[in-house]
Amino acid sequence: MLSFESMIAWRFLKESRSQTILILLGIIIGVSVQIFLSSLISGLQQNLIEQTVGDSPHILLKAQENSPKSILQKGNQSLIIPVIAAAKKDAYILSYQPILKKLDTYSDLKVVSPLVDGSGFITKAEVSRPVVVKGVFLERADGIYKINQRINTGKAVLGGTGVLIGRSLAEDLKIETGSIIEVRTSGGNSGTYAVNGIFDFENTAINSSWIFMDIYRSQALFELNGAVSRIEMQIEQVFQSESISQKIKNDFPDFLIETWQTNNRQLLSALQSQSASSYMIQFFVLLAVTLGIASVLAIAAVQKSREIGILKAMGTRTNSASRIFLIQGAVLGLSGSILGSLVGVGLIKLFQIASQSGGALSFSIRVEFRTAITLIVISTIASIGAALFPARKAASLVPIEVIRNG
Amino acid sequence: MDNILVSLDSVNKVYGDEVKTQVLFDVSLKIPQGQFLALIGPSGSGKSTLLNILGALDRPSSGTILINQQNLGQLNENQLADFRNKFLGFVFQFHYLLPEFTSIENVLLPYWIGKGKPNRQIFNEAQRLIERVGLANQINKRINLLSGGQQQRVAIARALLNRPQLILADEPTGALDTKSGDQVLDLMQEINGENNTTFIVVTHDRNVALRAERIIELIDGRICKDFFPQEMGEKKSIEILESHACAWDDQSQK
Repeated sequence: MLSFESMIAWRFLKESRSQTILILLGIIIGVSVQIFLSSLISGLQQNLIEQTVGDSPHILLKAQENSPKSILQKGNQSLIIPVIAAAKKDAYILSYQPILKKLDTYSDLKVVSPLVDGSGFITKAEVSRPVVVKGVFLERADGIYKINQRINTGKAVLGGTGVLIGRSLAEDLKIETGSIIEVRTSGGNSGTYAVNGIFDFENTAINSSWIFMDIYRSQALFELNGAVSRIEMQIEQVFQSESISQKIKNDFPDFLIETWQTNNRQLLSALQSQSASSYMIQFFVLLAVTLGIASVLAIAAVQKSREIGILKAMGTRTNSASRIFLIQGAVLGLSGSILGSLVGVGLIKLFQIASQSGGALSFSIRVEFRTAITLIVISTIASIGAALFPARKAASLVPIEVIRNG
Repeated sequence: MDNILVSLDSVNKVYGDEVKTQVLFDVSLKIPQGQFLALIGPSGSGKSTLLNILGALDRPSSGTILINQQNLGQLNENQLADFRNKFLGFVFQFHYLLPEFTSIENVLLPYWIGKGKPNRQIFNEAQRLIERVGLANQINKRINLLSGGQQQRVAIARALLNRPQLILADEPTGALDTKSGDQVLDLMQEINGENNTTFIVVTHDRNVALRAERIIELIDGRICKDFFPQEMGEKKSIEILESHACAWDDQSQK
C-alpha cells in the first residue's frame, strides 16, 4: 500500500519528467563511473598482488632467533661471537609435526607446507653452481608453488633420491631428466640425487638456483635431525593475512610469524595510495552528483511550494510534507544507482571486449557484487541527504504565504 | 439562538517584531452553525488575516478562538493540521488544485492526508460530490484540462469530502467570469442549505456579498458593519454598504 506521501512524491516525479530524467542521468553517470573505476582499480590491484604473492607463501612461521642477550651485555667480545653464531644456526623448528597438525585444523589456511631451506653447491663435470635446496612434502608445497603445472620435462616426483631442478640450471649445466647430480653443503656434507624433472617458474633467479628435494632427504643433507627451517602457508584472502597471523601468533607465541606484507611494503604502499586516489575521485564524483541532485530538488521544491502549501492547508503535517521530498530523493537515488550499476557493468564488458580485441588486457576485471551494493546504499543515502534541503524548505513553508502570494 | 460554531473573543493580530503593525483590533464575533457569511472590506482591512485565523492557518497574537468548542490556541502545529483536515474545508481564489492529479484524485486528497488510502465507500462519496458539482463527465480528467469555473467546482467538492463543519472561501469567484461565478455561488448556497454547512466567504464583490445571509465589513482591523441583507432588503443593504458610518462611530457618538 502506497502512503499518501509516496503517492504525492511519485506524482511529482512523474510530472516533472525532465527534472527527474536529469537527476537520474546524473546519478547513473556518477555511479557507473564509480563502478567502472573501482572495478578497474581493484582488478588491477588483484592482478598485481596475484603476480606478486600468488606463488609464494602468504604467512611464514619461523623459530625465534634467540640471541642470548645476557651474555651480549657483558664482557669478552671474542667469546660472544661464536655463541651468537650458534644461536643463529639453531633457528630451526625442532619439532614441527605438532605445529603442522594444529595448523591443519585452521579452516582459513589453504596450504600449510613445512620447508627445509638450505644452501649448497651443485657440481657437474668440474663446474659448480650455488643452489638453494628446498626440502618439501611435494603434495603440500605444490599448493603454493604449483610445481606440477610448471614441470617442463620429466615428472614432478620427489620419492627416494629424486629432485627437481630449474630450467636455467639445467641448461647451464647440461642436465637432463635422469641425470645424477651431486649437492654439497657449506657444512661439508654431500649427497647424490637423480633429476626427476625440470621446472620453469618464469623467473631466472629461481630457475637457476632452486632445487626441490624430499623433506626427509634434505633434513639428512643438512643434518637437521627432523627439524625444518619454517612452515609456509597460503590463505584464500591475501588481505586477511594480518588477522590470521595474529591468530597463529596467539596459538604459537614462541614463534616468529611473518606475513607477505612484511616483505612487500613498497608494493603495499603503492597500492594503498592508488586506492586512496581512487576513493578520492569517487568521493568527488559522489559529491558532485549529490550537489546536482540537491540543486535540482531545491528548484523542484520552490516550483511545488504552491502544492505543498495547499496540502498543508488541507491538513498535511510538517513532517509529512518534508517526507514527500525525502521519498523523492530515496526513489531517485535507489533507481538511479541500480541503473548506474548496470551501466557500469556494461561499460566494463565493453572495455573488456575492446581491449581483448586489441590484445592489451593482461588482467581480468570483475565487478564485485559487494562494491555495487555498497555504492547503491551510499548513493541512496546521499540522495536522501540531498533531499534534506528541499525537505526542510517544505517543512518551513507557511501555507498562508503561498496562498496569499500564489 | 442556533448553535454557535465559531466564537472569536478579543482577537488581536500584530505582525512584525521590530516594526509592529497591528492588523486586527479586539475582534469579537460569534457565527452560528449553518450561517452563510460574507466578509468584506477594502484591501488592508484585515479580512484575509481574519480568514486565516478562522482557518487555523494563522494564530492570533492575543484573544481566543473557538471552533466547535475547540480552543485553537491549545493545539500544537500538528494538531492544528489535523484539525484543518477534519473540520475545515478551503476554497481559494486560485483554486489551488494539484495539477498532477485528476479531478477525483484532488477531491480524495483531504481524506488521503487524514486517514490514508481511500476505500470504496469514500471513492463513491467523492464521485457523488463531483457529480453534485456538475462535473460527472470530468471525473477522471486532469485538472489542467478543466476550465476555471470547473476547477473551482472541483475545489468545492474537495472542500466537502471530509464533511467539514466550516468552509472558508477566499474570493471564490474572483478569478471567474460572471456566469461561472454565479454558478459557483449557487452551488455553495445549495450545499449550505442541504448540509447546514457553515460558509465564510471573503469577497470584494458587492453582488456576491448581497447574496449572503450575513455581511460583516472590516475596516482597519475592526468590525465596522454587521448586518443581515436578506432581512434588510436590497435597497437598504446597499445603503448600509455605501455609508461610511461604522458601528464604533455610533458608540463614540453616544
